[in-house]
Amino acid sequence: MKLFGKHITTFLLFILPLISYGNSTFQEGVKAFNDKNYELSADKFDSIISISPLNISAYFNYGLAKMKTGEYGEAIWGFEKVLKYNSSDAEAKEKIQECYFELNPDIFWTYRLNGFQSSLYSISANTWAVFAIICSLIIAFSIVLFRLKKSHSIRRIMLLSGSVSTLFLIISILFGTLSKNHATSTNYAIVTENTTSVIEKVKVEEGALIEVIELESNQYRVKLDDHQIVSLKKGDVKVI
Amino acid sequence: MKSLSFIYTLFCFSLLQAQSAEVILTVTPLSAEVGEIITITVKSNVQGEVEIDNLPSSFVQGYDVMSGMEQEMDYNTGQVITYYYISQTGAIGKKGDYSIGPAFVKKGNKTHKSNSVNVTIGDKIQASTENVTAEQLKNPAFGTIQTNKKSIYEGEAIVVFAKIYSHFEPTHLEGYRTYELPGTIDKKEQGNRSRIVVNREYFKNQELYTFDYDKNIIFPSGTGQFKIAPYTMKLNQNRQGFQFKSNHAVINIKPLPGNPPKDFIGAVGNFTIEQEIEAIDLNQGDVFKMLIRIIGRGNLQNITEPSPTLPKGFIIYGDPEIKENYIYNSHGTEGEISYKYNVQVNKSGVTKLPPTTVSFFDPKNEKYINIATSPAQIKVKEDKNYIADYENIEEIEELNTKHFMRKSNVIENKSSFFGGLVFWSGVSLPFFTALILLFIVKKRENSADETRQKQISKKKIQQVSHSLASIEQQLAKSNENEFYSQIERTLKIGLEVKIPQGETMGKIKLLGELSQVIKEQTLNKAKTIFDECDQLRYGFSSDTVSRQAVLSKLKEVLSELNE
Repeated sequence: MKLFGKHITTFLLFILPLISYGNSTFQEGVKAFNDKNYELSADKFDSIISISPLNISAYFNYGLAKMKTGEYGEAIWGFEKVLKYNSSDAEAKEKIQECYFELNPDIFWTYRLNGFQSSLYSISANTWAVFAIICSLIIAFSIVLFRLKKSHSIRRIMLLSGSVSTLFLIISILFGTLSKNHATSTNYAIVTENTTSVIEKVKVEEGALIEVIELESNQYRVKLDDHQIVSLKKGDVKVI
Repeated sequence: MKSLSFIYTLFCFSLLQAQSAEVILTVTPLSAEVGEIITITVKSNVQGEVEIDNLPSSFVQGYDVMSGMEQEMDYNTGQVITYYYISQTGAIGKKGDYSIGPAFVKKGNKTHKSNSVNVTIGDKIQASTENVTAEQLKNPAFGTIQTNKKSIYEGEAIVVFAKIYSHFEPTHLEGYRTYELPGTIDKKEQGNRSRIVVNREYFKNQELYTFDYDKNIIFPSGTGQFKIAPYTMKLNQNRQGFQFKSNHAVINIKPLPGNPPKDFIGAVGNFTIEQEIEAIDLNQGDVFKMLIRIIGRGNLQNITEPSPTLPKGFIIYGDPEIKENYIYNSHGTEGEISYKYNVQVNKSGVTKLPPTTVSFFDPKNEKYINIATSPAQIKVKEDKNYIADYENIEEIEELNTKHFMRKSNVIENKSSFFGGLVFWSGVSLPFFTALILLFIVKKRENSADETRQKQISKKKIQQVSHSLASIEQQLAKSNENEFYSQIERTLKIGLEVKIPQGETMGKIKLLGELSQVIKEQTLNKAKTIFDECDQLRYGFSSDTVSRQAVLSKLKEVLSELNE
């Protein structure tokens, strides 16, 4: 009881102020956007992202504000973040397409995940976990009935349901792992402004989607679209 | 680029009227075959030295050079303009696409430049020859109908011309009545019919005068075998002439394969498709022009309009503006047809225009080919005051969902449960529960089996003791067979106590199974008893001593088994 009380106190002292701060900052961000003060709006949403990294709307609004200031690389990062948590967000996709069009009308943006992957990752790892447990229960039930029942027809049904459930169990674990990896991975990043690689002096354009290989002190080793590996300054890149 | 030029001094008059200089270069025909006569004409309202640039190196000048002047009325100003022209015939000896010109007219210190003309020179048509009879060969002149192909697909073009052979050098012809192909709708004359170019050629070991005449590009309609009806003419040398009728020719027109693709536009040949969009940055409600060009060679003049693929919210207004720019040659028609569509945009945002596809039939590969335009994208700025003039306004409104700022939405970490201890426990727990349950069931089944076995064994032991008592009572009374059979039965029951399934086994198999369960000595004793019983059962009446001995052995074995 004492321990419970301690938790309540912590909650009241630290978490509640954070939540209320977050809410007010969010409203300020929206207000700044409506007042056409887009830079302030972007700053507000950026501060929300830093204290509440799972606020999916903050990323979207940050993207909208950055679009208005003409920082399309930053905007693309915001919308890509939205897609990371909800890969079927059509609005975010549309906005990314618009950003790339502004950067270069000849670039045809297509989401790096195909339709299947997109719908696969829209189901969370936890949902797959629930599927896996249900399959496991069906398998166990089928095994027991198969062993105990003498009727051939029942045994056949149990064999079939057990096999199907085993298959689904494997699929659920596999897809759950993929979904979790997608949600937690930091493999991709967006170049937020036109830059040149530190060592190789290769020009990299704003909005380019790159694959992060490793982080070295204050620069990223990244793989470009043409599979070239270069080093970019940490400040020019934002990890999705 | 190597250029040849020819310079002529035209007339020595100066211009009478002040007007802007105009120099026009024309070449006819624009598409010819290797060695075919073409005419290059330079026409200008300026009199001076004429020079033509970029004549192909394989161009061979002919002897026909014509020059002169003509007057035309400019209806805008009412002035009469004098044009000076010069034309030169010749032939190009190599296949290819050539750009001839520009031509320059030099007068004093001023030089006036003309346009350039593109000319396509194709391979010489390899025509087939109809059989010529020996009788025809004896005639002063005879003719054949020649075609570049014997068999074509429906929609394909065929080149047909008259080929005339003569033993005398012809000067002119008269009374020509052309050949006829039934059902021909589309026919285009090629070359110059007013002039004949006579060559000498070896034909069936005879050197004859020959020339081609009345060349036509024909697009036959219908399918099946078609007979080209002969032509007639009178071929003259000065005042003397010879009237003859040519052979006929047969061509086969094959139908196109069934089940053409849905986007088949009736094109037969080889084509490409291109798409151009006039503007990519638009406002909602704007109309932009989208140009689709079908380029290639075949039956371009007969193709149907393509159906552009447009996303929702894009509407085509009216019929497209069609521009045809093609020439007739041995391939049929060659060039392009463009369709200009007026498209209105109702949807705001960046939209990808999907590729427009069409299909044509390629007679070389004998299959339908699908071609597509490159995808394009356009950006449409939102116009809040725009009201779509469209049947389904709701649909348009739905497409134009406004992208406002979103309300705060903190998502939960949807990956925390998967892969954790609770998850793996949840997955494995049902298995373990099932295994434990099965183990318990199995154990219970085993103990039930054991109890049953014990009961059977107990019953058999009782049977053995009853049997022994019965044997002892009948020691002296019963006959041999009955006595020893009972001994055997008792021993078998005694052994079955050790092997529960022994009831169903024969004597030998039972002894075999017992070798792993009882001592070898006991087993041997049991075997001995069985053997002795077999021997004594059918022997002459054994005495009581022998019976007693077998009984004792039986008791001994049974007691050993009980141990």
